[in-house]
Amino acid sequence: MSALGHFLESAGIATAGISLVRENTELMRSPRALWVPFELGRPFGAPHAPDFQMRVLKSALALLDRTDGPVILEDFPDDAPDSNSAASLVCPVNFPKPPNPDESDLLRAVLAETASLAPWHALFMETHGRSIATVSGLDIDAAARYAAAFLDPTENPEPPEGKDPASTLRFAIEDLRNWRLEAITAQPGPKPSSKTLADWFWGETATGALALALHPVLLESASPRLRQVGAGQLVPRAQRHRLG
Amino acid sequence: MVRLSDMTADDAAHLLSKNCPSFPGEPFVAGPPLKDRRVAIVTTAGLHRTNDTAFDLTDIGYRVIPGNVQAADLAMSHASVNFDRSGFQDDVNVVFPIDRLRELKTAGEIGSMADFHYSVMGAGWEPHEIEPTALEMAALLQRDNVDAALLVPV
Repeated sequence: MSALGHFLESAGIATAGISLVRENTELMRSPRALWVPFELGRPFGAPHAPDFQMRVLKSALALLDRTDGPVILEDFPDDAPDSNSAASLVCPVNFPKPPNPDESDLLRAVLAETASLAPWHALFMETHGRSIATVSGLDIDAAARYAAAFLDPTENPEPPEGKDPASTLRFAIEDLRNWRLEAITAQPGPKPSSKTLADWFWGETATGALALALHPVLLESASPRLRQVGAGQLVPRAQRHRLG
Repeated sequence: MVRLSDMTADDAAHLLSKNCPSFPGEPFVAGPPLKDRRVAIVTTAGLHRTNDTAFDLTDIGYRVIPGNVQAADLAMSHASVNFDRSGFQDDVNVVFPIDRLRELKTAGEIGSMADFHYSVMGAGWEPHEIEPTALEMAALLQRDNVDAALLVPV
């Protein structure tokens, strides 16, 4: 982000940016930056908090009226509104994790999980009018079948025409995860925190178990791109303690 | 939340290990008052329209987001799995504050909004490598008469 600011300014475009990692912005000497104490993924603080988002936006844009550059780094004073609770979540599918995950068992569990959550996902679509679980280009069951096929190293799953197999796998897992988060957050009760959601997905769902089971298989793949996905684009650092 | 001290040790160490060079010259472009500026959003969140090409693992290109884009037409294909997506799922403005910017324009607090906004995917490349992409976006922003870019990471 800081590099982008430098090059845009070099070309004559004034910039004002949000900083999520103050230490790095300070090192890179961004022209105008507002550091915000929000979690990664939420540069404007919290969803459906328009007044708070507006305060952040105005604070960042106000830096454009400053003339005391060439390096301005301000701190936004407030934490994001804590609209999320740490309420526990319950997966509607009781999924006992097998000691030696088998492709067909895992796939069956993932498909059953999708079926159980489908009414909640439909409700999410009614209330939000959109889903971000669309990046793989596969429908949600096809995404599950595509991902599960990689558990067998002798399989060579076919991605949609013109798509890269490794990218499609990455996006299939991401779609499966996002679809489940959309469904579970449509259920009644206080909205869970992002950490609660992540712990639920990686610790409680069949799809999380599928992704964890894929990790060692991908690391041994003959394909460098599949190894890359396994190493860095599958399991978040904060969830790697669940790997065997 | 979240400061580095709130993160797992692995996450904090990873962020602090990133290559963070300062660049020579320190350009700092002046301009008219904010109420007269034409503002574009430039995000590194790996956003794109749902029918546009998703970002590959080390994709250093940009995607164009029309100023009249609707929330339902925005997707995210960022390569990092180490940040929250649930906020964006719930409300695009937590990552891409397009509705807030529209409100600022209506209130006369900015001059106008760009016809086009831009997105890159902020992972898988070194800071100096973004220069050609940035310069191409700068030329397009200038043709759109933009004189202020709001830079938004994720």
